[in-house]
Amino acid sequence: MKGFSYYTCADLSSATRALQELKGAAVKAGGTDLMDLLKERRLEPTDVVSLHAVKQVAVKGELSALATLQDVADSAWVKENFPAVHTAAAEAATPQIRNVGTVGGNLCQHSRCVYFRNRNFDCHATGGEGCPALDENAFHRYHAIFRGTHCVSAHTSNLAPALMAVGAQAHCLHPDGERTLDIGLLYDLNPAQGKPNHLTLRPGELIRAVQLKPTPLARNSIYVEFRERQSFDFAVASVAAAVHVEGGKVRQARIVCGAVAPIPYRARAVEDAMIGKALDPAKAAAAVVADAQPLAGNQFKVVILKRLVQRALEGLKA
Amino acid sequence: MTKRKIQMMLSVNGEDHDVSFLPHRTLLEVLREDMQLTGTKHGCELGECGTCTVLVDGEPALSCLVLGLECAGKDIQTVEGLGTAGGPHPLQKRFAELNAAQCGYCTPGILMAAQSILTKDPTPDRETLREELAGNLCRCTGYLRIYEAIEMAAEDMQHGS
Repeated sequence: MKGFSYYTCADLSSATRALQELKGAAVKAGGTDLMDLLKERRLEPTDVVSLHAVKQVAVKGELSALATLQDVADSAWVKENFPAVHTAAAEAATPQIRNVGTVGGNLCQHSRCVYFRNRNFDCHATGGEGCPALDENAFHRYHAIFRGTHCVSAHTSNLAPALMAVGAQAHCLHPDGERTLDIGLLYDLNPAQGKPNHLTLRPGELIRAVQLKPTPLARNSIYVEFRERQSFDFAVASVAAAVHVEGGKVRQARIVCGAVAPIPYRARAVEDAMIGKALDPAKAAAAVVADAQPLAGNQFKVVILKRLVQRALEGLKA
Repeated sequence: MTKRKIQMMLSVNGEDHDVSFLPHRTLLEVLREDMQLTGTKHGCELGECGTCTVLVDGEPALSCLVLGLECAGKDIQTVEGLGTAGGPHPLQKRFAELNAAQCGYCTPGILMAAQSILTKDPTPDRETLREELAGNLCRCTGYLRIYEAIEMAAEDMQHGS
């Protein structure tokens, strides 16, 4: 790891100002993603602004961005009102990672693309041209089946699909104030060349908290994922789903898929087509994967995703 | 740009230590290289194996992913604080008896994770052990004996032996 200057901030407002002044600084919360990127020398910031000293741990009404995944997993309020979010947090990584990794860090994590993580490769995200993963002999197994224009990496946040499914919003703090946006709007499928992540956050902007509102939709939510190992593994594919059914008809539906696109993949057209009809998991599952464009090495993910969508919807109250 | 060493007190195994290191040093590097506490092992260095597990304020954490300077004011427990050659901790005693340490590389991390489990739940069932030890890989794949040793140590600790 290359050395850096370390800045610690007592609150998030001073952190946003520090980030604005120190151009190109990396922001560190739990550090489970950042430390890897620094060690692999994929990121080599001159300055690191740490949120370590910021005291902010609410897990009711809103989730502090600095709450750990374990805080979320342990919250009875989250478990009762947002089952998808509970499962997504409780099944993430391992106890060691959950004790340190934060809500904000999970949402802002960088791609796990093996080519992006290896500094011997260049791509759109590192300021280069092309995508090593598109080479016909590349290792495609864990890449996207819904592609971006320049990137076919898979977004592996557990929390993002779950939070999107329950209609959560992010309160984002920047030096001039705060704005609130749907979790899905934190992500940009086609970021500018040289931008190492798919976030829409501006320079100096931080997620302060995630707003959660208990609704019939959120209470009837579920998160399922497929891993190659029973634990300690990123999902090959994941699905967060939520439906609000009244009188046997779907009034509201959300299906958000993880690890299948460079950003969390929300199947909006499928959600819309479900409204006003009886819940039909098999039909919805087939519709979600109808547009998939797998690579040579990951066609199996289409089948897995289809089964996961069906399993998720079958697990909800209809 | 200057990158000076920082000087701070680090509480390890109940003792305050005056240490000095560069800001980008991980807790693992500070423990092993600056404090010569080499019981904590250096494995994948990327948070993928768990061998560097230590307890930070009682909770298992990966010392390879934690910055040393962010541990000021925290209580760090490493395997060196668990027992001594003459007076091993019940976990260490049972690991030795059952040959639960094969190559031994994962053992310090597993001992610390196990200690944390037993502090919270003195009689964990097998499923709890499996879940709570999910972050500690043993590539000799001696998991069964590891679980058995922890269960026997838990019993020893219940009966005060």
